[in-house]
Amino acid sequence: MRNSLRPAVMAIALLAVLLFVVPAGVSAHNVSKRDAAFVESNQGAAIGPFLYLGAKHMVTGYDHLLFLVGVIFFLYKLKDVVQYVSLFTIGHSTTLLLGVLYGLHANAYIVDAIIGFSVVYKAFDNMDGFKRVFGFQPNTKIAVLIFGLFHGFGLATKLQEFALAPKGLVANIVSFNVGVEVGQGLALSAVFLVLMYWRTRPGFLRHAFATNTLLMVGGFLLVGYQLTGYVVAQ
Amino acid sequence: MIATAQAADVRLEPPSVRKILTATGGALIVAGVILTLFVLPAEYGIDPIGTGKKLGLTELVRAADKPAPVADASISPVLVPSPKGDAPTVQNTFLAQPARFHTDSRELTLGPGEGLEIKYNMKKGAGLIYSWKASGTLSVEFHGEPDVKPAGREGTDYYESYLLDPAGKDQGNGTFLAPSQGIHGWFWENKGSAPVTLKLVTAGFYDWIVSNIKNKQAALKPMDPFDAPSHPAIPDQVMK
Repeated sequence: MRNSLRPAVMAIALLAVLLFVVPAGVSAHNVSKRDAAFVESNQGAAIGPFLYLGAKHMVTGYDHLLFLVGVIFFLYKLKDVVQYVSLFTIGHSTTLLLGVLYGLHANAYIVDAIIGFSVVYKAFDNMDGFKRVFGFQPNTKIAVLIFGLFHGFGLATKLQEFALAPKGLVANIVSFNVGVEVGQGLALSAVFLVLMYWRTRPGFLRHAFATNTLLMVGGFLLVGYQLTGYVVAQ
Repeated sequence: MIATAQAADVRLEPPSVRKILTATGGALIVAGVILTLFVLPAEYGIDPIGTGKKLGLTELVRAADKPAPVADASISPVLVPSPKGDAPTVQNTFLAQPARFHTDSRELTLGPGEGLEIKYNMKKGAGLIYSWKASGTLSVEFHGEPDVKPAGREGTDYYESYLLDPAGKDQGNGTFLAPSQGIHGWFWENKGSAPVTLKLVTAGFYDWIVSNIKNKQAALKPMDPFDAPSHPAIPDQVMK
């Protein structure tokens, strides 16, 4: 019992850290003040810094991470992980690039609330909620793609809050996007390793349901946080 | 599909509808409680049952509302006598500046009715020394656009005027301390009937320049350095 519990406790502790400790130091979407000053004073292409900012954003962006934990929670084969993550990547890259290039603006709070909702959705899906409660299973791949589009729109909206110099814009956005993928790869590898180890333990299935409930708490928290922000900002 | 199909294969027993709904409702309630007790007070200062105040969380909001401490943008020298009787020291004689010192010189001609804007990107508290001279009278507005607009003016072309002289003048000299991070500079307009040539020289702690003429970003050519104000003369007595 002791042995089988330990990895579960570890994973829950990791989630708790992501949820409650990390937010004190980072913010879901805001590029930090110092980084913002760089972004705004930057003129022309700056591939290195934008790469780094993209990667940093992803590694410290707990809302994206929670969603990805949900997505790969029950993916056992690397091939499946790659497939789902590619769909997510296609989704968010599309809206990030188009959003910034065409200056599409959305309310950041609403987009972030939808991103929070994507966490709730995925956790509910992992609980087998759709099949059991509603009697049908929505296509999980299409769902990941659609939520990827929203995640990218969130990235684009936040990036546009800064006065981006038109010079080197495309190079900078592409760099930011590539950075996002690098950061996502790093974060996913860590999550996948923990999950892989945990799955070898008998405790995994017993605690899978509880973990997804916890994931859902995180999702609901993000939704409430962002919707309140939306109301306050009006 | 793969995810849930596989999950179903390996699960011990599928969770009951009741269990799923309880978990979902429970998650909603737990999230609501955490939001009410901690997140809303800390993030927005909304503190319905007073936990934010008790735990000091609402301080976080107040701290964020306060402007960031900046260097006191004024010079008030204080003479401190030396205890040993040698040279006294004078404190507060200068403002430290960011390491983005540049000089800039421009020569432009404005036709009748034409307007032109030249602005420098500066940090709050950064200094600029300027001198401009024109071959005729130009109406002038010295102003700035802060990067962070006041609440409710986000996304607008909000600006703050430092000096407005519609009657116009043919020169301006001064030192300027940026009151905010943003772009700061002049708008000149030739309201006369003859072309006017404008020469501008600045030195300061800015990093880039923008120009706006006829609502279009214009390329600026630096002035011929020999046209710029000369080096100061060396007084004769120094040479003796």
